[in-house]
Amino acid sequence: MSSLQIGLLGVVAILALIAMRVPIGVALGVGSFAGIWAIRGFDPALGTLRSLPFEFVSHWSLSAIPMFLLMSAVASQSGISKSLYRAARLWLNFMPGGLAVSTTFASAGMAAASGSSMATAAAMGRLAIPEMLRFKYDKGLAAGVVASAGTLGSLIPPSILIVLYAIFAEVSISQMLIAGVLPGILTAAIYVIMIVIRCSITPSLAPKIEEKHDRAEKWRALAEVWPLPVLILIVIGGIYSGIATATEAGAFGAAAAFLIAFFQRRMSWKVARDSLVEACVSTGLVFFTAIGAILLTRFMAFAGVPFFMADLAAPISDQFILLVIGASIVFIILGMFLDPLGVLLLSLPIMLPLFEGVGADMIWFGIIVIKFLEIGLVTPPVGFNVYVIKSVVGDQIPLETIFKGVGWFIVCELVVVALLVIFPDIVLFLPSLMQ
Amino acid sequence: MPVSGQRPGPASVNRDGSGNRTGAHGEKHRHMTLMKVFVIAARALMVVAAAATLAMMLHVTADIIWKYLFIAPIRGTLEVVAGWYMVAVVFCSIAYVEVKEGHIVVDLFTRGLRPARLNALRTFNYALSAVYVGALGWLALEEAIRRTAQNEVWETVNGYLSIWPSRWLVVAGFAVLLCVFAMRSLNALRAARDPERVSFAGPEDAH
Repeated sequence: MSSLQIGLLGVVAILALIAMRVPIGVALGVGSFAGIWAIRGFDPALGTLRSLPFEFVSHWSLSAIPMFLLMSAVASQSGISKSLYRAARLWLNFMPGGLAVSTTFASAGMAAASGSSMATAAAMGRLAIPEMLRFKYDKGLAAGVVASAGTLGSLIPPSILIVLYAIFAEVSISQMLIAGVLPGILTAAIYVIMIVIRCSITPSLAPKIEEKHDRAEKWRALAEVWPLPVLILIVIGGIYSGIATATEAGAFGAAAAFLIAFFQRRMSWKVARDSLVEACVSTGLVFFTAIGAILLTRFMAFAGVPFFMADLAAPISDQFILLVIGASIVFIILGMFLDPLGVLLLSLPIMLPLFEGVGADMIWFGIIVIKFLEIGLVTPPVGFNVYVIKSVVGDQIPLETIFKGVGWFIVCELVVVALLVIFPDIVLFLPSLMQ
Repeated sequence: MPVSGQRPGPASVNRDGSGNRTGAHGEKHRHMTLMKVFVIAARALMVVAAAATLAMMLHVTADIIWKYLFIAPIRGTLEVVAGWYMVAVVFCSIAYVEVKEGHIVVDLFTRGLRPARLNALRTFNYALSAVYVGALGWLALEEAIRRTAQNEVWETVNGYLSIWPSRWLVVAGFAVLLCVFAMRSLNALRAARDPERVSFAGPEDAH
């Protein structure tokens, strides 16, 4: 059996192990170890396993991940999302579908303090869905907007998935993070446009709320969310200006989140302890899986899969769109069954050489990948954000209604992807200013 | 990013509270005590991980402040973060992840399985995980012994930083995770053999 055949067989074996509910990190590690053993022999395979975990983890650039996760945990544990939603609600209530629009804005804001889509969806779901149901909003719209707007967390910096992509694709983490800003804003804007149009055409989806709030109350609510622009300035401003690396911005942002929560009297021993444990658990989870993915990358290299993929892409390199569509189908299918981290870490060792081979911009490709991971978060049968929302709403909204409600937002996502493919500068403009 | 909704479960569950033979009861008791020890070990490591996360945040923040206010960055920050804090945060938390949340699994294709078959599958999966983590741990132990003997250091701007102690954190993390996986495998095996008396108590059963 040739090395390439072993490589392809290995990928199938890993997928089979994952389907058998072996932890993804273990499936990637075991499958890759067996593959390297078959190609190179037992001792070289053991050698790879011996040095890899420590070498991979003891890396300065990867330390951005625990810092982003800590900032996100402190922000959500200390209740910033509550103030944010209230302010968005008071200011945006006048629009058709005002509560749904507020949820989108608040989620985008929360995404700027959080590195995880599911954390954003969970925090916003507990606040926004009961409110929307109280005012007789369509259940599908109420749940759909929270599940979908939560996905902005993986695009708007800080984003754990973007940092991981940057490490695997060997591109600048800072540029990669900044590349997510405009597509994130564009996605939120298109969501809002869709909500306003739908609610204008069918007002029963979102009955008008007759609430009067005086100007002073509105400004007070806005003043309460001052920590958010501060965190955005620290993280996005720090990275964009080049003043701070991603790790520095994350650490400073986390420290600022602690201080803000302290001065707002939202910090307690419990909040601090829970935030630290939450950040560590998420970090452990990400890295255990990533160690398996690094092994897969080595296995694929030994098997010659990158060359094979590059050769495969060569005849259609001039039909770039065809390649993007092909990749998007693979991502959507994988996203239906695997969580975003699994899709990212499983697909990158195979997909990256393909797109590198045809000369695609790796920063642009990264944002496209993240968009598809976002879509995977809300597509059946395993849409993780949808399940997060389901766990929040319990029996009030059936799963099918949530998936139906999400449908409109998936259409918006596809429009955004099309725009990013047609106008790559939406992704590349801000990073290009950093060079 | 937990996937299959895992929550901490008791170490071993036997819903039949009475009428057990003494031997089975004793075995169950030993089993629970052992699991408790591993859970305590995982929690102790988590304290180290949390302390390292906090230290990383404070150290890096202090470095930025010193760098821009006093034009004097804290030397060796990069090496300490990479060689100590990162290693502690990651390897001291991986066992607790399994105790608390469970590593990422896809349960879509196995939801329809009958309990006995599911438990047989779990026995295999946890055993495979234990073997994988055991191999990583064993190799990490060999590395730790070798690097300790060499007194491994990294060169920094102002001298040398000892790195060998953090090698032992890798060993500790994998060792406790191995024990947790092994216990889960045993639990699943007991449940597969005697589903009437033993229900599986893995992280994914608690919700």
